[in-house]
Amino acid sequence: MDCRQTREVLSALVDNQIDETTKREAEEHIWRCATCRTEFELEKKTKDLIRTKVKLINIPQELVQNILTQIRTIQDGYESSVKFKTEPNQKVKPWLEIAFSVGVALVVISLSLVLVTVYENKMAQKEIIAKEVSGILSHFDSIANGLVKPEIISDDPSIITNQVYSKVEFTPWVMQIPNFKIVGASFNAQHSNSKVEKCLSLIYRSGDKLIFLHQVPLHRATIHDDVKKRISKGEWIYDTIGDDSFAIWGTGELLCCAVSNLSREELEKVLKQSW
Amino acid sequence: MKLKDKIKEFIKQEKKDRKLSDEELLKRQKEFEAEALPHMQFLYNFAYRMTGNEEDAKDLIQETYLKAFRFWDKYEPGTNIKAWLFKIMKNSYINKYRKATKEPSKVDYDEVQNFYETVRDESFETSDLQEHIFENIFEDEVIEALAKLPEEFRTVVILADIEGQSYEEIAEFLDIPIGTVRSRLHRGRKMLRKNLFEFAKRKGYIKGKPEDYDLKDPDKD
Repeated sequence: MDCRQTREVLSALVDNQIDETTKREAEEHIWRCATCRTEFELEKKTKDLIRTKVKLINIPQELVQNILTQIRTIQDGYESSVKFKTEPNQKVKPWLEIAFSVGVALVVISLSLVLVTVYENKMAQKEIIAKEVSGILSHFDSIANGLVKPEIISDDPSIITNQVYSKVEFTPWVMQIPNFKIVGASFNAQHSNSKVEKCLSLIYRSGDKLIFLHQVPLHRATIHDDVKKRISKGEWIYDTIGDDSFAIWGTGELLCCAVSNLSREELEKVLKQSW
Repeated sequence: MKLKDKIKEFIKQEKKDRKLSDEELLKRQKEFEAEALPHMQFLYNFAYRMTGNEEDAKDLIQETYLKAFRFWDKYEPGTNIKAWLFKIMKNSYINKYRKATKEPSKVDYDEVQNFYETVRDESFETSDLQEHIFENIFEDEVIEALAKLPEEFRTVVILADIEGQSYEEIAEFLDIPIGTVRSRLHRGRKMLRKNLFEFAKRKGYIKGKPEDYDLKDPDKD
């Protein structure tokens, strides 16, 4: 073994993570070569220095507790959330705390559906719209069932509002809905690689009723031309799919879509009050 | 079937697929806790040394565990859970801290090579000098010297020298060959020594430049 080969295994020799043959060969060389011997000694001392000076730290117990609590909260989910009372500073909403990840996948589905839609002009309006919202609807269902966790969850609506403003690149519209409280928000960064979030969903809650307000800048929204025309005329499109109701409308700059487990009529009433 | 019904079906199916029974949920949670929690200490120490402070380390661990729990279905039982968790944490770390510091995503190899060449030319051969480097150095100086290492090298030094992981484990954590673990560790320790040398010099334990202690190129036979 020459110096170069010895250097290649020097760290392994120091750590004794080396097979017997290579070890013997390297040791033979080190025995003969003063430079490599010094290098070996130095590396050994460096390792010992790091090991003795930089101590392992014990994990803070409150961190372990926190994680356990959060996992259990996620797990408890929607139905049993009432049973799970956390300490006052615990700001998680159990049934919400469960994760937006499924939604993220569904957004991709919704996008592909939306793309298909563009080419199927002859499709009936109602069906077109159903397609448009199906992704958002699934996303909503995932949250309502506690399967997905929004990025932001807080008891304090002002915290959410502040974070929302700092995280999206467009000016979001944080609508006030009477009797409903903002409890969370999620971003679908999937639309791009940029750090700045491209679309936003606000989550409002009142008891077991949820309203999910999805918004995206109108110019970037990929929606069917017919739908675009209708909402740009100021129309609010209401409908239901399954147990959920939804509304689509535009604000001039934003495309908004509200999904809720309220009935279609209730949703319409609530939105009209808030507008 | 009408499209609307299809969508209805799709959503119902989706709901059904995701809805596990209470028993299954509990089993899943217990499983996760039993498998993943024992590695928290290891991950925490790595996070702490990579980020350099408690708050960031805590955030990183929290994010890692919640992510891991969310994707628990993706974990294949029997495979290396520690490596699986480590990779989740590494991704979170990269997303968070590399973006924040605008560091390039990869260490420029040439730069590292140049650096290495410089390190190599400096000799710490005199026993006098060794004493100074190894005996007058405090914990925070070692930590500072470690923090100065390029990320790739810092990672292996932390894993091997602080956390005492085997080369096989490190290779699996980082998806690199064992040979690379060896060479990064060797270089990393050497760079660290150079940083310590600078401290010693600054504190006046060592006078002169590293070159003053130069011997011939140690890597030539």
